[in-house]
Amino acid sequence: MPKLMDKDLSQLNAGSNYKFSATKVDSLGASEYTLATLVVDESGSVSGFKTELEKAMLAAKQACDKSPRAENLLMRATAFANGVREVHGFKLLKSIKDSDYKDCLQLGGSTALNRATHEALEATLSYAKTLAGQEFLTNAIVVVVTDGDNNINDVSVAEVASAIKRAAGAEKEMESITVVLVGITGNQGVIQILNDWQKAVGITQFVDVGDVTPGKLAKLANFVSQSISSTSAALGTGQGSKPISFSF
Amino acid sequence: MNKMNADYYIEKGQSHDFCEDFALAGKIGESAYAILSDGCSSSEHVDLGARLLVHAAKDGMAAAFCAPKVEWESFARKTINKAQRAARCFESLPNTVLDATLMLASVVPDGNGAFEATACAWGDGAILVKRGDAIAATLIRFSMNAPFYLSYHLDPQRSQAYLEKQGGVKDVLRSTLVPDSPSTIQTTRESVSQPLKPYVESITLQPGDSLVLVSDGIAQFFAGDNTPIPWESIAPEFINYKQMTGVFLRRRMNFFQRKNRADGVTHLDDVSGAAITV
Repeated sequence: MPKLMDKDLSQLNAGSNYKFSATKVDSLGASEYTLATLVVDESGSVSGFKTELEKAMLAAKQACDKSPRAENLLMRATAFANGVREVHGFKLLKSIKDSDYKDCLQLGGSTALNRATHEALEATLSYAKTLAGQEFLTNAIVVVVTDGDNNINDVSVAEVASAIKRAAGAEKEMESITVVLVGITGNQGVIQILNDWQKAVGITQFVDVGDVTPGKLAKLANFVSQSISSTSAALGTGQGSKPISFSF
Repeated sequence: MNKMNADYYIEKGQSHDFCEDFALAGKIGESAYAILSDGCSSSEHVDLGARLLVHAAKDGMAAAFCAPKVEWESFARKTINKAQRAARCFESLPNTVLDATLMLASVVPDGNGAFEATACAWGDGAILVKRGDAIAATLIRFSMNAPFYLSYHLDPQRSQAYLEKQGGVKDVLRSTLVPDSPSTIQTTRESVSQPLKPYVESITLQPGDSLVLVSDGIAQFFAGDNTPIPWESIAPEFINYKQMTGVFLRRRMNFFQRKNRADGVTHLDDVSGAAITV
């Protein structure tokens, strides 16, 4: 639930009883949009780099501001630990304040990676369907940032895989969807687990930043914004975006 | 500030190497304009000519909105003269560069919650007005597919030759399109003796109504099996907007063209639209 409902936002329902907020359709002026969701781990284990993660989220948004396609981006941010929390709903970049990311992560708890990914996909698909019904063209990207594997089992791997498959097949609602998993761990064991999870659910791309440092998280912001820009540039081509090759 | 919105759309036809239509739409104060021009394919550089005509007409709109009554022939004279002055900056351009149609719509609040709209056409094209579910559709077609271009005013010999060959004869086809009801088309034949005189429709619009001008490319759509699609079947696609915000016409047309690509529907001629919603 957002802290304060912007008058241009409405509360919508997604599959599996998720609720999310998004810009009202009659507040949208363009003919096409990329729906970008940033899903960030706020479990207890990231407490060592909370500030850097928040800065990376802000920097990613600010980098997207400079894109020639900035007017065609709707960005959402969620955070997850034991559950999933919306930092802000699908908003036009110009409506997102820098202060939306200040202290936005509430650290502590476990890692509901499955639920967070599932929720982002369902919300994206639901909003894309709403927009498609009003003749907007959309594509989507979901970037999931985590330092660990899933350890809350209210949503299964199969459910996440099914949601990804449904989203990828929803050609009438979305031209394409890209899902990127970003590990902020550097731990080879966790990297392997995330690699396996990526394959099991059918995620497009997995990158790991390696040992987490402020510099690496700054690069994370560039990676996220480049991935979003690539997806936005692909809108209207009938194709999904190609995975960004990036060195951390 | 009233809720009027204006938008425009241009798309190259399959049989053209580049688009020779141009359109603009916008607001000036509380009034709105929609303008389009369709260049003559057999004349050179008419893509530039169409743009010059539209911009020249747009320049005249601010004064037109302030005038108690607009003399459209005088407006047309000023427009073509201005476009010619601009074209003369380029010595290599032929004198036929301005061989293009011109359509415009002017929408002004009447002070009582409604809007007075005037649609003018120098040449061929379609005027569509939507009120509720019904669309009043007008298509203007010239005999021999030869519109009486404004540019003929610049050359009396060309104008005379045109009248001797074509006679300034046009058909005005009118129909009211209602969903799930058969439409009938009434055709009247008119003639015009000089190119500055437009076809004019005066329309009262209520909040929620829409008006769109469309170039004659509306009559050049073909199904996947090359069967021509009647213009009156295509007309609703240009005015059935789901949302009237932002680039509402471009959004509608982009959706329509995606559907056409999937269905194998093509259009040979360039097609352009300029729309106003109130």
